Amino acid sequence: MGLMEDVRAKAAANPQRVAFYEGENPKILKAAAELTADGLATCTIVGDAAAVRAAAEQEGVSLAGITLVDVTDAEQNESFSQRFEVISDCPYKPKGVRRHAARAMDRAFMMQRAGDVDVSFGGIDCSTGDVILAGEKIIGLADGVTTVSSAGIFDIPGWEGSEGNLLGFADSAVCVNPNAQQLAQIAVTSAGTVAALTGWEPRVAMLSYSTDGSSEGDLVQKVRDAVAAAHELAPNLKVDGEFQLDAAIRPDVAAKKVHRPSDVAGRANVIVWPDINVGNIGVKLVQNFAHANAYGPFLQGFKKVVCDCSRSAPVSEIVGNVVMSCVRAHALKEA
Amino acid sequence: MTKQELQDKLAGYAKTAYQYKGDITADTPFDELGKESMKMIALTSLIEDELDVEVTIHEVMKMKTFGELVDRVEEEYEE
Repeated sequence: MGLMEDVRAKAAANPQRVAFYEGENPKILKAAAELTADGLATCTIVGDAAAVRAAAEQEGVSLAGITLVDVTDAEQNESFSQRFEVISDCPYKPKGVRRHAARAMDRAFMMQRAGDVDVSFGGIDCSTGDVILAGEKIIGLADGVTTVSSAGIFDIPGWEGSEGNLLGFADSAVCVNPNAQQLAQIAVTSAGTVAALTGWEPRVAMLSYSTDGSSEGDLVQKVRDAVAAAHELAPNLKVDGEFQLDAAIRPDVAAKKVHRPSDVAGRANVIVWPDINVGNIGVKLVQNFAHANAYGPFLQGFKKVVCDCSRSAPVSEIVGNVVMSCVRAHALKEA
Repeated sequence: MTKQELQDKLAGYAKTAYQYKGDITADTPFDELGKESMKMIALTSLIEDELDVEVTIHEVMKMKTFGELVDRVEEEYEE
């Protein structure tokens, strides 16, 4: 079973509650309808209900089985606000609660924070930056995390690594130039993200142009410091480095270059780039030369699952992204 | 509230949000305070909560000096 089939089966087994806040966009409407029809998620659309209904009618999309939360309904907004303003560590004062409850994106995140939904999903009309900021403000960062980041999963035809064709990676999309502490957080959160999606026991390799001191310098030292910091953050996590890519994922190379016991060398299933330059170029190399799929990026580091999609994402990609987010949300509840 | 009083109040919020120990004046560059989004969120949240003025993070990201923030809040602040 491929990654997507596996994840769809997991999502269908435990359907999560998803709030969409860009319900006037035809792609979001179609994605919500497909997720509902296929029993993959319980969908809510948060927005101007009349406008959402009009858009659905125009697109010929059925809203059957989808709940609408109308942010233009003052009574509903007040009722929700009264419930929200008493949650612990409410991010707004009463006036702010009411102001933000009437905004679709903020309301969806507030519903997630209040436990009304498990996932809030958007990004087709707004930027990743907006999603991250709303997530930071309303959902908040996970304990011990100070930076949001992202992870992804390669599906590389013809490559046989420790998990077959699949390999987790981070961070190619969000944290531009992480310091050692941030890189350690990326390693730890990525391990959780990939484990939630795949069920693997993570073996995280911190990548560099050096393997175990074969080179020296600030860039290498940052990765070494990050490995040490990751061990402190998550003592039971299998995380190791600094490794070159081949030493991380090929047992034959690891045998030559890593002259000590390692749970990770040669059999890493999650690789962590040292910065976004490497991450962005690395993903594009794998996609172009190895004709790989790169699932993600999945935002991570929040108290709950916060996700977005590319503004050019087709409906199929949105559905896939939501399904993966649902599986992560379920894993988070089980943790 | 005079503009100076408003500036002093905002400087207090910024010191809290950015955990900044130095003096903050109208000429203090935001680069000196930091660009971390969680700190900007803390600052804009304090402004919204205490003064009922909503300044977005995107606005703050474009500001060069602290004085620009004072001007922006002054425009919208109502006693």
